[in-house]
Amino acid sequence: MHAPAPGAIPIPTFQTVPDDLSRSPQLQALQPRDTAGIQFDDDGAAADLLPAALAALEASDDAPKKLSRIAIYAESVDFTYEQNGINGRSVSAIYRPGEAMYFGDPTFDDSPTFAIDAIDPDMPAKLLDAIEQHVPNGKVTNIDLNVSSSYGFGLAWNIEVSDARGTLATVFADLDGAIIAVEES
Amino acid sequence: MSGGQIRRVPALILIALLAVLTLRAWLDVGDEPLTYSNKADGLVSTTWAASVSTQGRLAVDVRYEFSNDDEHTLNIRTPEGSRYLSVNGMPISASVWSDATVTAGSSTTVSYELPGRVTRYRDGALLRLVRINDTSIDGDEGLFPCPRCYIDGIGYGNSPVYGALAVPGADAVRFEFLGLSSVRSSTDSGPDGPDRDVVRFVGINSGTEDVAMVAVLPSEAVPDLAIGDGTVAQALAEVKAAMKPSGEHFHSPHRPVHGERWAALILTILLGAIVAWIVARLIWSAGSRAAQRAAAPLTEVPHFADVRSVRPTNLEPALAGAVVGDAVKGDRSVVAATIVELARRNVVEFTGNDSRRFTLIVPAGATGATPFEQAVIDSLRLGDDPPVRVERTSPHLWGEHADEATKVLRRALIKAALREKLLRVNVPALLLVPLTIAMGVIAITGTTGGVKFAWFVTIVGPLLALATVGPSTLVLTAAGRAEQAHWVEYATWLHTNEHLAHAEPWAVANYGPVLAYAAALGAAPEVVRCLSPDRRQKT
Repeated sequence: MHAPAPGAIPIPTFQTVPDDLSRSPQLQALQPRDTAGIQFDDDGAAADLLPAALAALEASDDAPKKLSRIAIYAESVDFTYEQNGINGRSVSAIYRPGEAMYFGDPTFDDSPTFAIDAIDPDMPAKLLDAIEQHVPNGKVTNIDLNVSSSYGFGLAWNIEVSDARGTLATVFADLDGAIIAVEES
Repeated sequence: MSGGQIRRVPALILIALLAVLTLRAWLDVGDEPLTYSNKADGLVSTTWAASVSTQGRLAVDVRYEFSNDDEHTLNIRTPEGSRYLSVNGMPISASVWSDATVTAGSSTTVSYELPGRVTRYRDGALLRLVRINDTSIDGDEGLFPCPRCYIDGIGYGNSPVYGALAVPGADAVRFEFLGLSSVRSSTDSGPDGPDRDVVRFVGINSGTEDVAMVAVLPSEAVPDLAIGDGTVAQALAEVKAAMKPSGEHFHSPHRPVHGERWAALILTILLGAIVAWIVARLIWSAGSRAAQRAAAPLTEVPHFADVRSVRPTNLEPALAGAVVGDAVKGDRSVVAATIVELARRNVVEFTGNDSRRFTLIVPAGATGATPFEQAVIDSLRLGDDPPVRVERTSPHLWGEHADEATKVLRRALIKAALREKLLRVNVPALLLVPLTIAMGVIAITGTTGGVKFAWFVTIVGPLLALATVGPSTLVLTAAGRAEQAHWVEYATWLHTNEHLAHAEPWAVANYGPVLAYAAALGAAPEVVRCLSPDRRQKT
């Protein structure tokens, strides 16, 4: 046997993020399940709340610059942020539309943080739309952003998709919307 | 003396030797095949290919070629953080630990992207596809995990691994492998080749186990990565130190053992030049003989054109003998001819008329009219200075100095012929010997196989070259060839005179200059026998 001749081995190329996230190649790994016609009636994650929630957080007295967690649920958006730039001084905040933002007492939490400026507030909604187009009988029920739930992906949106049978899959997406992995349940 | 023709037999042997030398050099060019035994059942090969982005991200393909079309259960395990996982181009679901199980056919390609494996330093960048798990290699974090362990139907044995890494500055990439031995790498596709900026490798996966790798890349290959502290050498040393508990050894690619293409090319060019020159000389020699037969008449002695029984020109006898060379038969001697010519002019004289015992007297004031005549007189005097009268008595006319006189007078004759522009030095012939040596040396230094034969050619080749061109290092000029043609004709006429054949030196009083030319042209053997210091050498 010899060393490969020039051009004998195809050189892999890099994925690009499509303008329409519903065309993300990795979504092909997300296969809807047969739910025997039963629809999933639970409320999905309120991804469209994130812009207002982030605006409210930035307008708060603490005006945090670094977060360690964003969690988007059906009726609220939860934040954990670093207070006053002090590492480990962590405050939880909950945004519910139409209500005053809730701020907890500071606790010690040295989870890795990320800059609030790195977050595109509209990205979760775009991802939610792309995923739900792909799974007509399911919904995105939870969107989480923190390093520990990103597993080996660094910092990635952890998006839980459920149908009438329960949790269907977890979709991971980069902050720029690139859907990088699908883990079926 | 006039030579000019190469010797065919040594020439043919020399060409054959040099041709074999060149052929072996070409056969030696190219990649020596990498061989291995104890092939792993079920797996033909594994091919790993990757691109490195400017941010240091990898796009990876791992292709498994199976030896049959049976379905194989393939437990996919990729490095932590792998993304865009797909099999045969189809994205697949995987656990967050990048595990998945698929059913594979005869050929299966696992693709993914992997960030965070390149660290940039000021003097280079380090690609780490290696990790230790306690005391063993973590196969998931390498190029690929043990195929025998994670693919059904793969037996124990060795298997080949082919690889390619596309990265700017591929020429400068240095690999270190774990689990891969006999590694060779190549980047010889050239700047415009299909794999510009691709370094390719091949190696043997002994036992078809985990394969891991670190690679030093040029720092410029990942310009969008921040430069970290330390040096790439330090980082590499740390990686190696960390892997020591595994007991595995890193393997660097070796240069394939093969001959150099430049050596084969140069040998071919030199062989072509030598063959062309030898063929040209042979053709020229044939043409030269034809030209001699049809030589235009010389006008110096007009009667020669009519009767051929008078000398064609006034060339002195020694030079006539020099230009004729071996073109005429019979014992001849340019020295004897010159002595006879000197006697004709009473510069020297003979006493006695018995060819077995006579005396040649060289008076004290004797001088030659030409440089060669003077050289002959000087040789007869044995270099006495000031000139004195000498008497040389046969049969030991030259005494113990015959050999020395022969050598001295040969050189004097060549000088005289060169001065008269009858001879010239054949430069290509002189180059044949060093060219032959050069070919041997190139074969020794630029090839790997047949070095003994190259040494043989280096030693024997020059001797053959010398034997080939020995007679042709001095060749006749155009004027010399014209003289030769006509003097050969004149010699033919002289050979018809039986009286000259039996004439003794002092018969010059009767024959005049004809006897001198007869001695030079092989028509007066008795004169030659009496006067030549060395008839064998035709001096």
